[in-house]
Amino acid sequence: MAPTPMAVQTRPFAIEPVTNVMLPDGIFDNALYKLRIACHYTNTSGADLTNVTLYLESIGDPGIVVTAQTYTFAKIPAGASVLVSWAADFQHATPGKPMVSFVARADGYTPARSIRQIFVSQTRYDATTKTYSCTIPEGRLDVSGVTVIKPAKGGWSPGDLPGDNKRPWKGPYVPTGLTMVWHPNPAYAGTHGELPFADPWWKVIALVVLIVAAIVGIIAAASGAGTFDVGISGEFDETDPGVVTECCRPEPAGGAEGATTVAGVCGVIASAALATALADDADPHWRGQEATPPAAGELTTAERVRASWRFLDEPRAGRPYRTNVQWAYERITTGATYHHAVSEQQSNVHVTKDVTVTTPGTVSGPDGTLWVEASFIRPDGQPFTGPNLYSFALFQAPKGFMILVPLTDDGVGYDRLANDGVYTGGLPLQLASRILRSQGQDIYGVWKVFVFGQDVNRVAPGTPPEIAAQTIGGFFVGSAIQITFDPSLPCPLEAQGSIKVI
Amino acid sequence: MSNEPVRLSLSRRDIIRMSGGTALAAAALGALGLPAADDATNVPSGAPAPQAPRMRLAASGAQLLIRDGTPHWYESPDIWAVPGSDPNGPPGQPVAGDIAFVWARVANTGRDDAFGAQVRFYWANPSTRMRFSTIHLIGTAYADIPAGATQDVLCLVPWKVEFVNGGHECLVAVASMPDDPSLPDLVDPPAYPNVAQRNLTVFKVLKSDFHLMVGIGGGQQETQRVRLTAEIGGELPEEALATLGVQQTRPVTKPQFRVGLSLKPTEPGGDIGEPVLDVTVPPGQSIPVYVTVRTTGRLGPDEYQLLRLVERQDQQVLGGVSLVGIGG
Repeated sequence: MAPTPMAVQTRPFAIEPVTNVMLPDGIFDNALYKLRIACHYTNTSGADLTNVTLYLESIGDPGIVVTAQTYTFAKIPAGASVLVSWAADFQHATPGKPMVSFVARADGYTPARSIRQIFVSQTRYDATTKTYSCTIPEGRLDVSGVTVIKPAKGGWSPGDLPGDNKRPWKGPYVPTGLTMVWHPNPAYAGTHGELPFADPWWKVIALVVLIVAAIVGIIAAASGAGTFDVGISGEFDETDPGVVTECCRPEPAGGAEGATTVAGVCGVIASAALATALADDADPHWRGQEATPPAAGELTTAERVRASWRFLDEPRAGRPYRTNVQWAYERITTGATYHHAVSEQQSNVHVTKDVTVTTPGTVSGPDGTLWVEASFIRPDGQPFTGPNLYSFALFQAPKGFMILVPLTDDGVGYDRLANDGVYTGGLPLQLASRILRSQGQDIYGVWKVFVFGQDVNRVAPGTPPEIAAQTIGGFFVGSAIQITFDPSLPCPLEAQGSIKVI
Repeated sequence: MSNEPVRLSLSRRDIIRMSGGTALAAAALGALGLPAADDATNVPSGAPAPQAPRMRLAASGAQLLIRDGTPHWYESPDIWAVPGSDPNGPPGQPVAGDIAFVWARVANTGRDDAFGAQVRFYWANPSTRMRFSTIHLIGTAYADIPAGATQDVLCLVPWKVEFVNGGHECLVAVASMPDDPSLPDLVDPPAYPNVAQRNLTVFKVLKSDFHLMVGIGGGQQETQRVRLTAEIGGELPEEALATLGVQQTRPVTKPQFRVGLSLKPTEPGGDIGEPVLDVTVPPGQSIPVYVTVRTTGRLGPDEYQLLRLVERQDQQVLGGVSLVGIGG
């Protein structure tokens, strides 16, 4: 028999289970203890596979403890990619690039193994110096002097909290500037040093820091300490003196899961402004290196970037909002210090032209099923398809409680056809009824549907680092909630569909 | 009288394998009155544990098997190492100071599928008898193994091969289901079909002496008197040779080296000791035996010579370490 034609073709990514958001570029950070190791598992053959089982076999870092779980699919269509994930504890993970192996088995085939690397970072906060430090194998990035647009006062919590060890989240913070100091390990000769994880730009590590800080704040409000490293619980307290406006804050509504998910999305969208301002094709560290080749014999020991930007538009996910940015790069070598500065306009490139959502108008209870189909259309008119997107929907019951449902384009379950650009999810009302009963709610009335999608880094393993770095994943290209600079109202959460249950 | 289990010609492993099911195996064991594993100490703490249970009762109808070696159980062909950074590379001899990945081949001889079977991988310095509390955990892996199927299981935690003993280390693998009872501290593959040991390594027959230190483990409560014997010759099954990455397939019977066993390190060119050594091991201790191999002949490019260091007590094999000598 031949090996099962199922493969994990690209790097697995991290999903934070309290907020359900993907971490930028799929990077796992051990400040967040509980993360899910997610991947798209692809049927690489031209034929449907039946009775498919998938499991995570092993991981190369003994500090990462995975909970064993097997996924079973009656059928996986030809070419389809199914999304699977495993709970793992990263509390004792070591920064690095450990390998992970997955095994697939289908009827008529022998088991087949896929081995991929994941990226693990370690973020900590020094309250004395008000500096975040993110350690990775290639060095350490210190992030300080973060200027932000703060939300309206009052803080956020999921509603039925706080209790012991819980405190409101004061975000989302929209960054308007920061200082990043890269300490390469070891010091290097020549123009360019090694890229973080030999893949993403340095700015992605800074983005990890901001998003981890945001998620830690949300987890602290929802679950309390114990699920993240308390050493990361710093906050940004430097408001940009040149900006008088404040931003919105999400409403604490929808029950614990829905509220934390909405807050997590807000945290990612706000933080992603950093990546927008610092460009995807080449970030300030790379461009600074390019402009300041050191003298022969010198070793670069540190590189400092101070960047600040102004928003010309509100930072709406999936929209090409613009920023005016200035940054100054400084290379410190064993023999001299070199400078380079840039002032320019940048805009968000993680965009969609349209997000179309289809739901049934009416569904009969108690045995019917709520469903939603969503398409995320790129600017060129082509939709995101299959494994290019991590997508989910929130179904909000008539009395407000939210239930999260994954959306997939895999031709499995509710999804009619794999890779057609239509991401589908369903919620059986019988299941919804059981969930709502515990909340004192029921299924009858008008439901609202909110849809979200994060792009996935699909760069093939083996791509040259400076090419791979230009593709970054984890940005919301479609989101039912948006960040505005109007603090008088909650962040607008706009339903893209509604369903009446009769 | 030893506190170690008496080795009968019919082991629990054999009975479980023949019975085809746990319940029947348990009944058979009870009827035969087989002794239990001696040290009822849980893995991996090494702390004293209650005397019971005295046999392995698998909690499900899945029965995991990692095969023993033939003729000696500690030459399992179902555990192997892949030296270097590519876990999919060919099997071979681990290199001291480098990394290697360890694999195990696990069969499910039971009637139920095994989902989420855990496989733990250990390395140990060469020793005839081992305890989980003193060997080194490399890492764990998981496997789904349908009834009647066999699955190769990879441990992705790199094994950092230490310089001590020049990479000539032993490997242990344990497969278990989540609800299986814990194992005794003594690594006891003959008693447990889900436990296997690979005290099998390769050395080059060179002009200079080859040295190895082997630990002789004792019982927990009583002084033991055992005999260690160096036996030259014999052959390994082809599949066992293949997992060593050895190309030489022709065993040589005429000894091409002398082997000496000593309680003290030997000097180059000096006395290497005798091929038979009686050792007294105080309770709870391990006595190092210094093995010296001195070349007397030459091995051809397709030849190998097997050296087995066998520990016995009253003619009963308690354990051993086997080495495959190949030309330099």
